Amino acid sequence: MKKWVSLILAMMMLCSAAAVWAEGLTTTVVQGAEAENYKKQIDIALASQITTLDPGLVSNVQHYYLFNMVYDTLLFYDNSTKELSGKLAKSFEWADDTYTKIHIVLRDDVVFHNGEPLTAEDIACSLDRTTSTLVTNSYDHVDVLGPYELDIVLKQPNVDFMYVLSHNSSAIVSKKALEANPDLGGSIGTGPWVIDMDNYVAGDTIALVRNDKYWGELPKTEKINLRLISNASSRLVALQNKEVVLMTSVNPTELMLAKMNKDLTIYEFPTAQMYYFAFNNTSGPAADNLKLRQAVAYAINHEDLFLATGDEGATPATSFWGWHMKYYFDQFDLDLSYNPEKAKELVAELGGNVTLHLMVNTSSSDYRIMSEVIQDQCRQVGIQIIIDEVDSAGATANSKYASAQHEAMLYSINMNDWDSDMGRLLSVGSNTNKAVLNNERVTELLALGVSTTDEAKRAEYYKELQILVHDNCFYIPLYYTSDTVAYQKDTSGMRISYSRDHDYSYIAVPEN
Amino acid sequence: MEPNQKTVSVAKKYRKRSAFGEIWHRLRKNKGAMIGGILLLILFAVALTIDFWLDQELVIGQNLRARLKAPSAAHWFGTDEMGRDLFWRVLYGSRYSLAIGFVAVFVSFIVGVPLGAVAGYFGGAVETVIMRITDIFSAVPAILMAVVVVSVLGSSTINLMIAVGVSSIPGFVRVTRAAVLTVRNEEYVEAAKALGKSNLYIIFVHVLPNCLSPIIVQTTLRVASAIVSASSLSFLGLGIKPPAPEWGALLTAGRNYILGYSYLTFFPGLAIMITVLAFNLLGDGLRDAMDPKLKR
Amino acid sequence: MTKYIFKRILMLIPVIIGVSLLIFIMLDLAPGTVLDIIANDYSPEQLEELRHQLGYDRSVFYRYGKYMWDLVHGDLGISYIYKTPVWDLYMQRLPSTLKLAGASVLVSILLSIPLGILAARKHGSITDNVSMVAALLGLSMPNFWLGLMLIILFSLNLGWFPSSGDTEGIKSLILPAITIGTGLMATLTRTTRSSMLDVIRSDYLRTARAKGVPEKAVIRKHALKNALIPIITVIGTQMGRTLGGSVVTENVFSWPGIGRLTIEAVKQRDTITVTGCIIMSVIMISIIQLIVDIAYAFVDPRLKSQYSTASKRRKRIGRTPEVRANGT
Repeated sequence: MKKWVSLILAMMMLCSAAAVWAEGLTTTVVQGAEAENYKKQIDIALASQITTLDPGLVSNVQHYYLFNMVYDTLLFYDNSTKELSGKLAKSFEWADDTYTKIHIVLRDDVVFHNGEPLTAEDIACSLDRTTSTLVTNSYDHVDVLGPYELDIVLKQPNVDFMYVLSHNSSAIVSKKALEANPDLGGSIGTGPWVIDMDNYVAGDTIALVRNDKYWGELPKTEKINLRLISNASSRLVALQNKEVVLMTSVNPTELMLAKMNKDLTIYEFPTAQMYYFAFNNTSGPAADNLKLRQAVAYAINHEDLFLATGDEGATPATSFWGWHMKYYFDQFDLDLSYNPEKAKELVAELGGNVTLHLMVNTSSSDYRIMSEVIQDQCRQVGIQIIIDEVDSAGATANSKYASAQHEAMLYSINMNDWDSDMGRLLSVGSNTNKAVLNNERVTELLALGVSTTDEAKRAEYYKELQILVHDNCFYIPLYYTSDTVAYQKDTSGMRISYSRDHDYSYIAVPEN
Repeated sequence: MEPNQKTVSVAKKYRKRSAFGEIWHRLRKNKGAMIGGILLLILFAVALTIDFWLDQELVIGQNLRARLKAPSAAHWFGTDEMGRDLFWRVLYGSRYSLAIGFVAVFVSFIVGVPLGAVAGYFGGAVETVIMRITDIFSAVPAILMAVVVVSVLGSSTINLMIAVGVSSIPGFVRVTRAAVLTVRNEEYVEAAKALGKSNLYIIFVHVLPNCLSPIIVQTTLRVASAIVSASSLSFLGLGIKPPAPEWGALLTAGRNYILGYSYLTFFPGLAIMITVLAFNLLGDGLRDAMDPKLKR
Repeated sequence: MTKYIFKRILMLIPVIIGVSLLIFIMLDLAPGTVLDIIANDYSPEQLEELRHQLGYDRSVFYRYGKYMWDLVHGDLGISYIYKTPVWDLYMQRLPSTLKLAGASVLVSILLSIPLGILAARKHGSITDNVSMVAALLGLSMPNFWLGLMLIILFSLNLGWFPSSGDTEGIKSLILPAITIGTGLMATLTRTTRSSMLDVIRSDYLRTARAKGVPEKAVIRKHALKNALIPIITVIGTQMGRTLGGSVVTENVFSWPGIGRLTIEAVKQRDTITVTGCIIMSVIMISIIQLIVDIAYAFVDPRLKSQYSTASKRRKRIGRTPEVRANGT
């Protein structure tokens, strides 16, 4: 057997394929040599289901792949330079210094896929209908000042709202198309790709054709199929077999094998996604029981978690905050890192015999694996973890803020760049608040953070917030993941980002 | 086969045996059924005793530093993604898979057989109602029904058993009803009725014992398909709770490693296949032994 | 004939009413509703409006009634998850499902009938036993396991066939069809074997042999034709079953089939899609059954005259052979 392994290793050295490791949190557009001809049609493998074509109705990473290609936003946020620029907006500015009104002038050369020109009415319609709390928490209404001129008015000051306008949940759809067909009108955008409804298989394949009337640069490829291959191993098989040109999230354990394939390029990068362990702080055994929460925190060895999921590029998390955010803080006085002895002490203080139900969404094998590791680690310090497996609907239903039934759960979050985004996880009433946290000071600090214009003060608020969450163990941040994009060598044009919402609009594969 | 002196004398010998002796005699001659039966005996012996001679720690204790080791002398089937020895896990998993198979079938047996018997015995409106409801249940594909049941009850070992059980109720109702139909007009049933015995008494004392053979065959075969169904449910992510090494769960975990570590799928799959094959062989053998007309 | 078809349709109605009620009630009992899936990000006011719009503020029977009312008008409703009419969802996936069902039944026919005939001809020999074990092997393997093994061998190592999706025509079809087809083999082989045994010993075959017809021709022309009725019954049942979708195999091969659609819909509590798909497959199964019945007439002219009295005809054919379920 050893011979085998050494043979494999030797082979790896000989034909080590192009493997790229991105240092730090970066965003890159993959460059390729110019070619005479490009493949007209390519297939891309998706890891999760795209259920809705309408950007106003859903916001999560897998949908962003589609939304990036089919829709445009008012602003564009380049997360590699951290700068905002206009996209559908020719110009944009805060109308005053209270951060409640944004003045926007639109481009006048943009046409929707149905042939209708883009006007301020479409912006008003799109923002009015979007369901994302990212928008609805602050957005009030649009004042249409002319066909290409408008003011976006907010309910309360939000210093980060321009970022929100660059986000896919405020993508622009056609008002006329929506009026004509309320169910599917939301699938008409202005982006470089048009959805081909004749070849659309809902929940499986989304066929896209190039928008030849696009106002910006035209893609080199003419047709793209986004295909669902939900199992990571199957995805890699399909990529190796040249059925698809690109895939995301290689199974970490199979990464070495993927790298041995000379025809593939593997791009690995740290992400802005965090896995976390959330206690229910409103009901159940963990609520008002700091010792129990801390005992679990001491019992968990973060390194073991990503050793088990095989995520070698992971970074352990200490602060429940995005490590890429401006006001990230992790110099805590209280050390809650792995310490089984302390955990045992706390369990003894609790009178031994501690049981906790952990709700795990089985749609991801990572959750399943991590839950088993945590179960084993807790067992060693005398905490019995009972794993309750549920499907996605069950997980969402059981952890809804108003009616949360879980005692604890494992989950993950893709964090945006701006600090106020943490509000989703901490504010009262938010369904993303899996800790069912209702803490006055937390709420107060969140409100202060999003409305304070003085940066130094904001930093102080966010620091206090992070210390509060950390010391009280409302959440246990586990680790920041790393991810991969694997593609056929010579593929270029895609924008790969640590935020994981890669843009495939300009993907191109040379014909040979 | 031409009738000759020998077969006639064998036939005479047969007549001396009891009904079950007769079946046993025929079953013993069926090599497949015997192999299946012996395999199952071994499996049962392992499943029932394993708690006494195998340290639990070997089955559920993790050793992340020894994860994904290929099969070797130390680890016959290799180690899984948590560094646990797959051989012991597969062996221990026999407990779960057999238990799921049996309990699931018990669930469908306990519901399906009485319903089928009542439908067959009474006929008329009762039969129509029961059979139409059965039609409705069987219109939903079995695996889908099981998934729906698990969604309703939540996933746990017991619920998995119930889910698989519920989805095979229609089979039991049909088989039992058909068997009861063949005996309900027999003389001994008429006689019992004439003696004024209650319907319930007649069904349980006279009717059911006389249609046991198709029911037994059905039971054996259903255990086989229940094990496969349970592993399919695990595969769809609705299996039993970790760290229990149920075979379907092992297979499903292994699915994420098929490129480099296909032994993680291979061995649990093999275990399922051998067990299910054993049940099927025994079931087929029983059918032939109990219903010689079919074998010919 | 028309009367018979009409009766068939009439028999469908109670099943459809019952099945949809069953699904509605069961999915209502499951934790979470479709609203939890689609409305994770919604504000409370939007959620309340949607709840009202979809009827989730009232009892399940109200929603069921509304659904049935639409159904009577030929409307299967609109999926909450995909925002697409269920009819369109079904039609998008029907071609792939039909192809796969047809191909797998074909694989099962191609493997089982020769195996069954062989077993019958060499009755009681080692060949007989081996054939029957081989057929059982297909049933005993978990479907997805076989699929994974085929992918490892034929896609990964040999690179002959694609491992996912329905994109390369016949080539895409082969591995999933083998996966399902072998699972169907056991029943069909057994049925072929026993009905061949029936026929081989019949008087007219003895006559044919006595006339000096060669053994091969005896089997092909006389025996097989007469043994076809139970075989067709089994094929029909299997075709109907696979048309409902083969969840597990579709999952392994990322096949855009109905089974996956339905299971996803269950997980997302998309009651309307689940019910719509099941109603459609009940109808499809019934159509297949009709085709099977017509096929009987072609195989056995004696039956042709009896279409006016369907019940008599069914008695004559006898019980349909039992078909075992496996995890497809």
